Amino acid sequence: MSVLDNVLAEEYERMQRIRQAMQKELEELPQGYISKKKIKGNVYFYLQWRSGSKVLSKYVHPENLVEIEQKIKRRKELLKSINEIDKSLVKIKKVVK
Amino acid sequence: MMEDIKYKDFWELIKFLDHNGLLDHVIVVGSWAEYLYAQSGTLDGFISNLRTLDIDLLITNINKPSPNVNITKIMHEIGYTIDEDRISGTTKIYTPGFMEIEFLVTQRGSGIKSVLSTNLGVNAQAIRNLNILKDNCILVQVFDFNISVPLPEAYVIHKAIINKERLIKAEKDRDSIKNLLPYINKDTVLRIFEGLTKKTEESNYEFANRISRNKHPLGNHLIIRLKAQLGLESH
Repeated sequence: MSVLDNVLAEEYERMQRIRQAMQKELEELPQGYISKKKIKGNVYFYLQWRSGSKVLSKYVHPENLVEIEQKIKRRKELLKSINEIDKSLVKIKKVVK
Repeated sequence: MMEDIKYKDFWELIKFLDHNGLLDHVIVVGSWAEYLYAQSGTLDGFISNLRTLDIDLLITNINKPSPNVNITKIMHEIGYTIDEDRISGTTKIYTPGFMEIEFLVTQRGSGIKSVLSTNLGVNAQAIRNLNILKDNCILVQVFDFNISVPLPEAYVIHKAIINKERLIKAEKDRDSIKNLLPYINKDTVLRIFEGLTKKTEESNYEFANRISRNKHPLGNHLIIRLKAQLGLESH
């Protein structure tokens, strides 16, 4: 195996490890988005997400709003990163072949 | 593009450690030390051959800082991904640009535990022979940061000693040694050699032979010195 092959093999394994760690974190984060509803003059927040053809929602207490928004943002970042990693893995595989 | 991201992530990490008063507690080891030798001008004319996305940080004292700081919590909040190796239990931190930060500590004495928890809030991998790097380090200044790195001579000796154990990384390490050899100081190498334990002598001898085969004069100096130390014929 050449130095380049070793580097690529090492990089492939490393990327897989990062993907696994990100996937693990992703599974603990809420999917969906926050929707704001005004009912009888009061504002209520709901976490809404799709499950098949249904849209589900769950009430969010104002105290937890910021935390859930941050988690949703983090989930989006992780999804983007995982997508980038998948592209890199495909590229490395092509080079190694 | 990837190149830019890795340098950006490296400096973001250094900035983070400095900002939180933690830079004094770690030594940048591994190939990023080579990058810092080049950037700081420590080795005049040296160009680093950086091709790694791992950042290895050697924790100088597992009981510091005091009180302890949970860097995994802080780093997670600012977008790093935290992971724990399922088999070893060591902490791995991934930067937004997919670099892997690993923490190491020196294995001393009987050294049964291969992973040690530290006051930085990370589980570090305990490895033998890292004292060569820890006991021979310097501060380099780059972009107003004072960063601890091993002396280039200690870095080369360490790489040579662990070369057998490095498996697929062995060849890459040998290239690093060859790249650094013309820039290192003979007297410093000899001084570090004298401070090494008996256990490493065999590795030292192999290291000296390897340099000698590369027709580097330092190899011959080391062989003479080692032969004398081992009670062998000196010529």
